[in-house]
Amino acid sequence: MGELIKLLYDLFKLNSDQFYSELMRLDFAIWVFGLTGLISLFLVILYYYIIDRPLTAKLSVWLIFLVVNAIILSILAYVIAYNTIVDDYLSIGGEVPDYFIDLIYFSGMNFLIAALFFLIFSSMFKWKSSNSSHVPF
Amino acid sequence: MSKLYVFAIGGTGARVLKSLSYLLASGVQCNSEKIVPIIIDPDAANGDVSLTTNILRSYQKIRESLSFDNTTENSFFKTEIESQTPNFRIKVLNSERKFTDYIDYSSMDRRNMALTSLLFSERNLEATMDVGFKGNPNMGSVVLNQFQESDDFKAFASSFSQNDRIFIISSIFGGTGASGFPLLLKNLREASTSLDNHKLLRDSDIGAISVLPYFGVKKDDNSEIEKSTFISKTKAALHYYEHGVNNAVNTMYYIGDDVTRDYDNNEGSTAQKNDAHFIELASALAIIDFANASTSDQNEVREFGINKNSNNITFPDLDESTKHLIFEPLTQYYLFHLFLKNRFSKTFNQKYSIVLKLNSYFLRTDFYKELQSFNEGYWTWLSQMSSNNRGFSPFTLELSNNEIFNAVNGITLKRSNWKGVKNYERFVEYLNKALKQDNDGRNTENRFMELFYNATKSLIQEK
Repeated sequence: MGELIKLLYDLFKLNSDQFYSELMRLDFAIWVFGLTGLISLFLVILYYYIIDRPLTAKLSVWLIFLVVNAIILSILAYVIAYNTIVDDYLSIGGEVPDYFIDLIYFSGMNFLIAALFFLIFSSMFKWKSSNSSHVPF
Repeated sequence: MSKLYVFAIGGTGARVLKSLSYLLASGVQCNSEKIVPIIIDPDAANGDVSLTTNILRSYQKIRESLSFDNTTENSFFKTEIESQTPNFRIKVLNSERKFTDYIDYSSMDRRNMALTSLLFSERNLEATMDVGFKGNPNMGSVVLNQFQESDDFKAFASSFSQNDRIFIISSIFGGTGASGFPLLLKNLREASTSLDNHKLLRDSDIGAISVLPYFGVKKDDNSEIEKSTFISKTKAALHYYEHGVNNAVNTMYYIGDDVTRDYDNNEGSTAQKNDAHFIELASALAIIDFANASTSDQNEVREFGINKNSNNITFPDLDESTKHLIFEPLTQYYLFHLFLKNRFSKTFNQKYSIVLKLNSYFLRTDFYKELQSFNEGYWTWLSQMSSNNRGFSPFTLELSNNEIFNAVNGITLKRSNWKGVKNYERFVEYLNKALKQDNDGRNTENRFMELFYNATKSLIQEK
């Protein structure tokens, strides 16, 4: 399962070989994936059951939630991956390589995963919402 | 199925029927399953009568699309209004003739002519009656004494059945109502054996309201109607009713007001179109009171009263039982109208619209157009009562104000929840909540009405 999650972040084969080996060696992708799921779920619950009001029961507001969720989680993905790699290199006293472009790809990939999570959770949890069950479809 | 036949005599009768229509549309509880209005007015073009007839027809058209059974929660338009006669009217025969021709004055002998001249003035004798009796009950009592021969009255007698009841609305200070009421009563209590169901008619449960002066008319030398005669005519008629009428009805209602406004002096026809008045609403409540009371063999006389002598009555000024009867329905219908007018078309992207498939196509249906037109009449009715004297102003009547839950004068409705959802958004939230009670097996019109009924009820009851 962990391997599959790690491979998901290399779906478009955009990572450098070096970053790919970091991705497979370290577990930051699993942590990021788990957090992405949890935070997306929280935002879906927030949208459908806590905020849930006619004013926000619109596709445009739902899309804003989806994008905000994806942005937050792509930033989080960048930070977690970067910190994990830095901690790992510092623990062995090595020089931290420059993975900036790879980390941007990684956070971009998490942007898509977060959006997908939000869509899937919306489809699963929207039905009992008083005002918003018709959003996004 | 019990029916309540409501005879509305003259202009006041028609205006009370108008108020009754709006009360029934708003869902005021009425225990009769059907109301059968029958208007008696020789003035075929009377503005009040035409308006009332249009409102009754509109009510019927809207109700045709609705169905009611034991599971229906909606009370808007719940009570069926049935037409017994074309245009809800009993045709008064030969009312277009001159009064002298009607009584065949020219062929009378000298003694009868002298007696006739004693009872009727020169103006009475020369008058035509196509615009009513212009405040002359002495003429009306002759011309209207022909009910039993009318085909419409015979049709009414044929349709009358066990447990059906009768209510008569008339004014006591005019011409048509004051003369028509005792005659109609006599024709019911002494129904001719040639009529079908004459025994049932004679023994029927009859209620009646006699409306005492509640408005005046401006002085006009060209008009036969004079405000100064209203009180004397009322006193004379009351004296007669005390012995000849009160005992012949099961429940007699009296209503009047000493605060009056002078209307334009119109003898009749299209120009007679008085503004709606609280007294007419209260008179319509007498019909509801009669319909909801159990049959009684005892004769009762009832009067209407309010708690506070206010010139502009609001709900808190009403007696508790009156308030209990009309506060919720009138307020529900008021909110319903405001929402349809101001917000409905902008909420087609909301859950309740999507579930019920309410869209711009629905706005173009005959049902919705008829409802819109009926609701405009409801608004006018409220506006006219509010500006009349004495006024009835239960609502602020501000069409463009978003603060709809501040719209009930003297009563505070809950305005928002912890999320700050207020005004029309709150309304939509309650429409969405009301979907839980939605029954998707019925047509859109039924679901639409029931949804709005349930939502407005919850909005009002929420503390």
